[in-house]
Amino acid sequence: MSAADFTPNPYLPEYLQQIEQQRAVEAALLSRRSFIKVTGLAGGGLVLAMSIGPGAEKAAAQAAVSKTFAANPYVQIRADGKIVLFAKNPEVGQGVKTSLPMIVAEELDADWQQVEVQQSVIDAALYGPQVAGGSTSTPTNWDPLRRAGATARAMLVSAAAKTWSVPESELSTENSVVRHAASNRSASYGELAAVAATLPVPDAASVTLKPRSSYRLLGKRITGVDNEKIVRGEPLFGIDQRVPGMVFATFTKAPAIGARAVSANLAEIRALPGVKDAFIVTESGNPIIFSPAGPTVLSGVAILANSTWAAMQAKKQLQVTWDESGASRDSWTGAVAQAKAIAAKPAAKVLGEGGNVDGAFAAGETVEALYTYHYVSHADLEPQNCTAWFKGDSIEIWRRRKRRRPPSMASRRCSACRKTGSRCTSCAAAAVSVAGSRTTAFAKWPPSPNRPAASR
Amino acid sequence: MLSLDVNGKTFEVGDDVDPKTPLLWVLRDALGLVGTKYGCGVGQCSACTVHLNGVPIQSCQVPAESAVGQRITTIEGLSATGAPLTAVQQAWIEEDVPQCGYCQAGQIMRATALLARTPKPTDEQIDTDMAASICRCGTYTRIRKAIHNAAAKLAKTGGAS
Repeated sequence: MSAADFTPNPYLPEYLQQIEQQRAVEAALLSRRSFIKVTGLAGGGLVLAMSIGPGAEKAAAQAAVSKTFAANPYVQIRADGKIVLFAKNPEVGQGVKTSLPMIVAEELDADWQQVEVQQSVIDAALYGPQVAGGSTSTPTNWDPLRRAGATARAMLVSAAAKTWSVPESELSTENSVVRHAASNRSASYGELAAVAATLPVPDAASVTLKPRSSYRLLGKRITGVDNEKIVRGEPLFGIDQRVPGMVFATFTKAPAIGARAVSANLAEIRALPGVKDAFIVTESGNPIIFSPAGPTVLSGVAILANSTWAAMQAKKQLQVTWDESGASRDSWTGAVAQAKAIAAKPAAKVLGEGGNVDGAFAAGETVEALYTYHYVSHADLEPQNCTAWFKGDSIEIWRRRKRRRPPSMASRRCSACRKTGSRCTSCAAAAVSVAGSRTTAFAKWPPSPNRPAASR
Repeated sequence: MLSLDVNGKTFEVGDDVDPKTPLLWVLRDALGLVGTKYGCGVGQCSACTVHLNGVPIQSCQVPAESAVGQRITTIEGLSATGAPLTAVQQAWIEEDVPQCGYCQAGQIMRATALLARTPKPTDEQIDTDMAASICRCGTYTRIRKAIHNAAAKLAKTGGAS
């Protein structure tokens, strides 16, 4: 499926139409790739036709993608020369939406001017862990992304060798072009895409990587790929998502972890201007035991209104009776006291020894200070928020977060559903996790039938 | 019914919106102009900065009803979609200012107003004027650089962006 084959819902704002279109195209390509895995071919339209749409749509999609080349989930080369690179990790200001695709582009020998970067879907089977944390995005992705780019490049070189009946060793690549110097022939990646798509995918471990000395892109300053959207104020962040008929909600959490909302002045709140509904959210799981994949829904009170402001104003009038009998007793004062007590004790264990510490202190001037820092979250400027679009049989969620891993489905059921093995609406909602401070990506439950089975 | 002049267009805001709602929320929730950002909601961060008759204001602190009959400009109004960027927007890209990018709409609106008033600001003037806009990523040095860059661009074109 190509962008041209997608019929957008005319009732959606333009940017949502674009997102929907992007998702349709990505889903088609990804499904094609899952088939590719089995056959070992980069694939063309024929493969795609097996997994999407009835009759005429199928044929149209087949014609449209047969000229698009996707060697792996990171690279897509279209017949018009456009190179789409997928950024897998959340962009939270560290620049990975630009730098990770640059790694692919370097090994691909792509012309950066032809590159369009898109945020990838969240899919552990395709991309592995998709998180931002510990400055690990670049080191952990360096090798896989180089190989992703080099694999695609190798296939484009093979395509040219096959087309011109010349040995691959006589070919060179630069700026999205394969050259045969001996015969003065050249072809753009776009021109080679259709042939490359029919070739076997080489083993990523065996592809030749460029030596550092021949890097053209890495080490150069490349302006951030989202900069234009940012300076134009285009919708880019989690909080910018808008869906048809959207209402705005606040959620009032318990004052202590593990406390439960028993009752609230809900009737009074519902009567306030702009308020559409207010209700108590029943907790599930055990919020005291932190588990990244855990089935935790905190108890609290939700207020739904026709604007964020109306919801916030109503929240000021909210009175909740909490049951704190099962709540955590942890507190900041308690944590400080505990830290002081531990620090006052002699070291329980020497972890390492080296140099002459006492001598160094005795020899020079010493400065003493004690720094403490209170317990805070990342304190980012964008407030915590989440947009959910319930469509009857599915729910899509946009979130701004560092962790993009979809939680394990098995662990995401409420107690009632765990017994029956089914999944109620709230379990389905909890099962979806989507990301990125800047995000156009989102997950969907239930997954689209043509997504790879391994992603579920 | 409120009638607001935003980016040169007239928007009618329905009776379901309290006229005392801060301009920020009318822009974002009623008009769908989400380029203007919500950071703190209490006039501390300036992520919500828009222009009222060319003057930078924190839209979270201004009731929508008090903006009636005045000229409101948001980040979306600096240059139309697809149209050339202003000197400030261009400079922001050239100097690669944004990191997470969340505060930058407010920074750009404030910088645009500063340059309209002070075409060739000193570092000190920039720091004093821009101090109201908080950046969690700490892009201040590049913001300063971008403002100088934009000032130079504007000087060349005689002030027209």
